[in-house]
Amino acid sequence: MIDILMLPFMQRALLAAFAMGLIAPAIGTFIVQRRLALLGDGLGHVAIAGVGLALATGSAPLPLAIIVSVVGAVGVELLRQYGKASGDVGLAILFYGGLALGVLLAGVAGQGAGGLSQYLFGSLLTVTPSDLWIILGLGFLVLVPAIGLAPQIFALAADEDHARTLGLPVRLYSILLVVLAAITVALSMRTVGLLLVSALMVVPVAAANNMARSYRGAIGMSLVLGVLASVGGVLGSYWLNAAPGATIVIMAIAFFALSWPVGTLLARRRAPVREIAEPEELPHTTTPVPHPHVHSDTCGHVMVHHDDHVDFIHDGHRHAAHLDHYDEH
Amino acid sequence: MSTASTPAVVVSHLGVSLGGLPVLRDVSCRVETGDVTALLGGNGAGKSTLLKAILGIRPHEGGDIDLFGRPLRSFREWHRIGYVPQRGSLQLRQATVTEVVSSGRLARRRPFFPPSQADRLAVGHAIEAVGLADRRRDAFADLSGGQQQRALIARALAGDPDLLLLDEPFAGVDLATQERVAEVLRDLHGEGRTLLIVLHELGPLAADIDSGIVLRNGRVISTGPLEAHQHHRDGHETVEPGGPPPLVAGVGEDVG
Repeated sequence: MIDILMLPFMQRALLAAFAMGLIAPAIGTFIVQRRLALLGDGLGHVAIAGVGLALATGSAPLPLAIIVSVVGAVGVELLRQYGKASGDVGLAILFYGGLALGVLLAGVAGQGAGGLSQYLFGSLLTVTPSDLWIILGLGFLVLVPAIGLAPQIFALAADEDHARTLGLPVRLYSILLVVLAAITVALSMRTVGLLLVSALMVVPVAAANNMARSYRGAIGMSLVLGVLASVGGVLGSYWLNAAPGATIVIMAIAFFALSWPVGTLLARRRAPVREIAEPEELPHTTTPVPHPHVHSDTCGHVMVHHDDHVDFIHDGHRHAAHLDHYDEH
Repeated sequence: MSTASTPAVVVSHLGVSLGGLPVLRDVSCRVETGDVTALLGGNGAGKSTLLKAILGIRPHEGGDIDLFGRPLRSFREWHRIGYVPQRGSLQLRQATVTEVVSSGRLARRRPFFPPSQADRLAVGHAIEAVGLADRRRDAFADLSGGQQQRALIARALAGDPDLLLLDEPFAGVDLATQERVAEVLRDLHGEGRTLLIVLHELGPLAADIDSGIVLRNGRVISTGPLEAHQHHRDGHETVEPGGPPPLVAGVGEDVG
């Protein structure tokens, strides 16, 4: 364990993973609330075009990927706000266009689609010191509004119409949100990877939502789960010699699976104790005469199923045993 | 009840379309400060749409809306407005009553600053005013229908508004709970707040309503003190001489 931590590239990878484990669920919370989970995935595809561009021009991939995905995100949000993007189709064209463009440019650069794979699923060896600074710096910039504006974004996500009547700049916040998401997605390419980042944004949040009752609690829990999955996944990736994106996402999904039973237990403990009143006795008439005969299913009297008991037809009337007497029905 | 002060809401010649179809046509009405005004009409009459247009949630094509004497376009004093939408408009499951009510305070808060002592107190008072103090840490989603309705009223109250706009606050809650909600609204009116309430039927507030606006097929068919509406509601057959018979006759159909 200690010797892993002595390796400089592992130190950088773990720090980057820690930062991603915080910011991905922090933004993911809002993405999930706004039902934009698909947007995160799509922005990852758009960022691939940025990586392709960087490979073709020989520049650093991370800054270009950030720029391209931010531009794509603002475009998608403006189209959405002005009602031009008819949901799925427009987004699909943009997103898969990004992926295709990335693969095409990587091919032009002589790298082929294989050269892209380290960006799609993460790669421990590739976190350069300058990448790390960008991840930590921009990660901090993303985290500040994500936490500082959490009450405003809560109001927006909970009830957009009501948020307007609070005088909140709804459009501005919506654009800010997708820009933050775009930066987060692009930053993830060294750790969890552009194709899998959406899972790190969504799955810890979904797991936290299974367990938390309050908004604040859900955010806190999703950050903890995100960091555990991200850092744990990077360590697992070292031992298993697999791409870190895979181990991170599998850990996150394991947390999600555990969140079901844990959430049920928590809900049971929190449930307010409700006293259940004894149901009142329904009005009924009792037989006026003593009834020495005890009915049973072998006594030969006709049996009639009546709600939760059996009545017996006897001497032209229908009755059932109740405590020490018979009720007429 | 009407005073000489600026009306809380003035709507003149308002037109609203949804998907190309006119929903409101040439609607003019006003809400006097301090009054309880009911916005009445049948399903599809345009009541909720008018409320949302007044709040700027629905864009309008023609006409003018003034809030406290200022055109809606340049209105910025949103803390004076409290909106209580229909129940079921809340999208989140993970939110406590306190968190939901706190969001109503945002019109008075600056972004990036934590809530002040006054903000916390206002939220606490709002929750107490609707009688939910014992449920404030519970999940909003776990509340009963009537409790959710009261929590949404508390959310509107957290900003300490002068004008409350409520969309069918009695919809889908039983009679005892309606009375409970009506009590809360009476208290708010007693504190001097102006209320505009979309109602499907008069319900438990009938005696408290100062003025009514009756919509039918997107048009205003009558406005003014409620006694007239009430009278005709109870007996369709009697039409006062001098009154506008065809219009008022429709009120009974729509409301009752």
